[in-house]
Amino acid sequence: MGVAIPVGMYGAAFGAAGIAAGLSIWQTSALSLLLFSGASQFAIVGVIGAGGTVIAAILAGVLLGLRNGFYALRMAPLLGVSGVKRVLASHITIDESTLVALAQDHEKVEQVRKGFWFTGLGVFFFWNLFTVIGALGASLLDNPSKWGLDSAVPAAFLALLWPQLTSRKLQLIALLAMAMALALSPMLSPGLPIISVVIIAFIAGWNSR
Amino acid sequence: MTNTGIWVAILVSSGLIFVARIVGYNVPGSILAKERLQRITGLIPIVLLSALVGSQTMVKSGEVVIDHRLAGLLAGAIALRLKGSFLIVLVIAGLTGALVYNFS
Repeated sequence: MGVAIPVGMYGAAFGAAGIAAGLSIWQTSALSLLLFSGASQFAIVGVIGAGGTVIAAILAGVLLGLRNGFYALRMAPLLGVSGVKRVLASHITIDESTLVALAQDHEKVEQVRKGFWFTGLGVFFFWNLFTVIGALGASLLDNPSKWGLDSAVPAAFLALLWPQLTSRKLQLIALLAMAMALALSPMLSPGLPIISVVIIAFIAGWNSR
Repeated sequence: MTNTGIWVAILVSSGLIFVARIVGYNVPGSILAKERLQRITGLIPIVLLSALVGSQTMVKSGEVVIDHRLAGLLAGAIALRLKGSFLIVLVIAGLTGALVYNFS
């Protein structure tokens, strides 16, 4: 249950970001219902808000959401689900459900499964509820800048990024990516500078050192 | 982006992420368990989020600008450094950005 409050806040922030980027309440909620992967959803509205193309928005969203496929690989043997349950499980395979499940003692399969389903379904409920609340709230505001909304959105990205920067090397990679996106912004159409930094992941990840 | 374009972006990316998850549940783990692939995909969220932080803070209509958003982000970074919760970080960044925007 401890995960509900941060998820709610984050969901409300996403709802507000969707409205600030020019999506309707329906569109913002559709992302939370159908895509259901926080960073990916933020990236899509980020590209749309910046005036990017449809392709750029899709690419940014998919690249950020791909990790859920890797979580699925990890969870498949532990959950042992098939049919409709497998489809349900795959939709709630996200950072939180996977991490909570993997934090349980792997010998106790029941606990692993309980952790996964409880967290996944709980986050799904609160995430969608608060997306609507955030979107409704933001649609009442006249000018997002006046209310600090456009400053809170990049801070939300930074808060997601922060715990991942566990070494000097990763911090350097993050700074490089930021610099590259900024440097390319005047030259490329919106959204492309964001996607182009994937090349840094390839170069830095190619060799183990 | 047009309204239709937004819906296309929403539905196509949702569909593709759904496929990624379903594929994960249906292929033997060894296929994607290549070390290099794991390293690269592990870095992708980091580079994309960094690029998003940069462009959401300092880009406006294709120009690099310094405005109230940077003040908000820096305040948020300080809050993160002091181990503030997600909510605290957003509130501090939002408040700082709003203050600078309204009083400068």
